[in-house]
Amino acid sequence: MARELTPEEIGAQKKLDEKKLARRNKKLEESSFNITSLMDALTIILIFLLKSYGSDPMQVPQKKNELMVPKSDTMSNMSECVDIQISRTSIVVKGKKVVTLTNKQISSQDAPDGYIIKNLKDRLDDLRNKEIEQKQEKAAKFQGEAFISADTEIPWKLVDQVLKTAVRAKYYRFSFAVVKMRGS
Amino acid sequence: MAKKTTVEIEMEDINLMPIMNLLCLLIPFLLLSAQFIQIGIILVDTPRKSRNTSKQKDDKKKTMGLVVDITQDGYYISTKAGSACPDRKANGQPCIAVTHSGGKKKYMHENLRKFIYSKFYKPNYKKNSDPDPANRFFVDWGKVTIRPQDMIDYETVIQTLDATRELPPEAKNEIDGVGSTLTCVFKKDSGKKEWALQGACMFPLASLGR
Repeated sequence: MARELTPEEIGAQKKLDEKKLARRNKKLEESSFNITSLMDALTIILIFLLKSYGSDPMQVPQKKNELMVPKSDTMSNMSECVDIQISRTSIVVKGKKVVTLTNKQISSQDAPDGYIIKNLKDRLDDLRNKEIEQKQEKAAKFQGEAFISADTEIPWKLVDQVLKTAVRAKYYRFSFAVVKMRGS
Repeated sequence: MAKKTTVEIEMEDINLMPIMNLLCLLIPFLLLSAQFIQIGIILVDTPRKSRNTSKQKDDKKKTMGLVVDITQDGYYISTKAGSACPDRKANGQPCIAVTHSGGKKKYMHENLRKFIYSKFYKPNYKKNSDPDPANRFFVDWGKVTIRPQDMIDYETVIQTLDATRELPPEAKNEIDGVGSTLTCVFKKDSGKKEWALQGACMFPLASLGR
């Protein structure tokens, strides 16, 4: 049977319990982390990302083994116009796939005469007509400019076919997308 | 005497959790869509466009007619007067031949830049430095035609365009008023139709193809 505690012992036990409780409370206080510093860091990251987002009028997706635009010494910036992407597997105009490529080449069905790519020309004609309608409302003139982002390993013949088709659709001036090597 | 009462205002901490939630959603979205590389452009014309613009040329004036052919062997350079390296051409060799390193063909675009600079730009830039094209010696000053063969890869064409457009480093000391940065920039102000050239350029007005 347990021995009854003396009043001194009860007092000492109480003090010990109080100390334990105080220590536990202190630990709890310490563990509630300070959120302000995390908020500061996140705000800085957000501002940086917002600044790097949307500064260019058009986006060029860089995909390994698919579409990697070449590097260049140029310092010129893009302006908004019709966007043609020539990857290793397809040609995309303003986000819409118009031609599928095999071995980085156009099939004879897509380009019956060997140069003019039929689907591409139709799509560019549509876009030109839309642009002319919009420009007439604004009393501006159709500029006939196209922005071409092509993969580094694409043979020149394919780019030439795209250029010739674009010329047939009355686009005469081209800007080639490149990765800037020298910063802005 | 009026009894003075003190109202204790308890300052509550702002609840940051909704903002934190929003930030945690926004940051991954922006990280995925952000573009960390800087995209630039190289402006080119088709030969048809450049022919149209040079219709108004003064017939009494000289034409340079600078052409760079990119072949599997290297660069062939010519002007209206003929090949820039007739001896090499007579032997069936290009002006600047390709080299082979590690089983890979390498086009010497830096040599092309130096060649065009020393052979065409440096001897003629003073006669063609007038801002008004009508007062220049060559009616087509600043223009170059690049003619790649079908199987040349796109990267080589871009490197060739760079080589004909940008001045080599030695131009800093040899050409007056080019500045220290040696940059050639196409700029288009909003609402304007035409692009304007700024900075120090060699032959920036490139047309591609035959």
